[in-house]
Amino acid sequence: MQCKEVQLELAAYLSGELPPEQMAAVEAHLSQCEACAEEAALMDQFGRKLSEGLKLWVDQGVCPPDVMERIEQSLHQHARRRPRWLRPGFMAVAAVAAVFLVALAGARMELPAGQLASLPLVGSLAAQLLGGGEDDLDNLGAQAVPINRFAEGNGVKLTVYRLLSTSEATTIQYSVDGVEDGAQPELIGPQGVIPLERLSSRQSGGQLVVTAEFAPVPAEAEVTLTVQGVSVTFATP
Amino acid sequence: MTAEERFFALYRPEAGRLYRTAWAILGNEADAGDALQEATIRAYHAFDQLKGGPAAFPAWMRRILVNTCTRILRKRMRVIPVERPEDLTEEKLTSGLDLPMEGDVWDAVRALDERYRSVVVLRFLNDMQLDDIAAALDIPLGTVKSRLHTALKLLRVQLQDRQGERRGAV
Repeated sequence: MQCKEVQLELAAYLSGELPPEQMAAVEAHLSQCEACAEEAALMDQFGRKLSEGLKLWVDQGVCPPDVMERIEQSLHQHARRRPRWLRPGFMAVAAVAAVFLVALAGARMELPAGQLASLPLVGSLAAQLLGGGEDDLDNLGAQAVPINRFAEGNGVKLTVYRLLSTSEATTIQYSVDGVEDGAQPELIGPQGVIPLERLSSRQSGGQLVVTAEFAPVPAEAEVTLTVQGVSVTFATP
Repeated sequence: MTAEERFFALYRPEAGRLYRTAWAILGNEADAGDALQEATIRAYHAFDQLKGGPAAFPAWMRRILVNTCTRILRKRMRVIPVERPEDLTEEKLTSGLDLPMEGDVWDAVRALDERYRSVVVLRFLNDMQLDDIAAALDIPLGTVKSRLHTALKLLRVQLQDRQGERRGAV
């Protein structure tokens, strides 16, 4: 190895991050080259002191009161806000719809989604739950843009397929493997958590395919979707 | 005690360190405040996933903050031109360097170009491995090594100059 090459690898060598054969090559060079051996010793000493200096500076830090206040207020607002689909009014309608659907199944009635949608109160929700109707959240339309990014962790695989961004809502379609139906998505944008407005899910090919509608996000903003601790980051169009 | 109160009981003692960690990574206080706010909300929503009890909170919270900051850096770095380390002059270090006070260390680090400051802070403040830094900043491992090499040379020169100035003033 040449001196220049060795010096570039010194940081990795000093922390034992090189593969064994490279460790041996650097070590062999240092045993023969006094200048590089001296450089390695100095870099080790300098790195330790640099680390101590930075950590001491961080330990002496104080969060400015205005920043702390802003964070506390923001978190307080988020802590109090519940997604619309968990709010009492929405839950009551969902409960009525569920009872209605069970009754339908018990009576072995078969109604197309279009007819269900015309029924009072529970119609549109029942149609939505059965996967049909005009208000089908699954149907993002041709304006949706492909994302096709995925992340894995903790036995969960999250794949983000498509995004539809309008002035009224940001709708994301994704699938999750290894997660229960009830897992709630979280979308974070430049200004913090974006409220979840609606959620629908269906099983498809052994996967849970979810369509989540959030409050609108500005164009060209970087957002992160997190489900069960697994996150995918992408930009809005 | 509500979840919010439990969260803040653990969070407040760490806030100063977290703020300066974000400042060190991002290089300015305005972005540090925004990143800390985003990371805090993110952490609060994942608070029930904290494993290891209150003792694990500082490292857990810091990890979320560092991830938030590196995501911001990645986005920011897409518009930064490629460095030319060959433009930098070769400086040989004299032996027996005594690093100045921690304020001077930070002043020297913050004066570095963003490309160099970020790898120095992730390496020497956050103790990240080189390949983890490469993944966090979405740059090749070789680039991390060359940036670190260049950054250390620049820091040595800067800190030696400061020492020289201080000695001259005495």
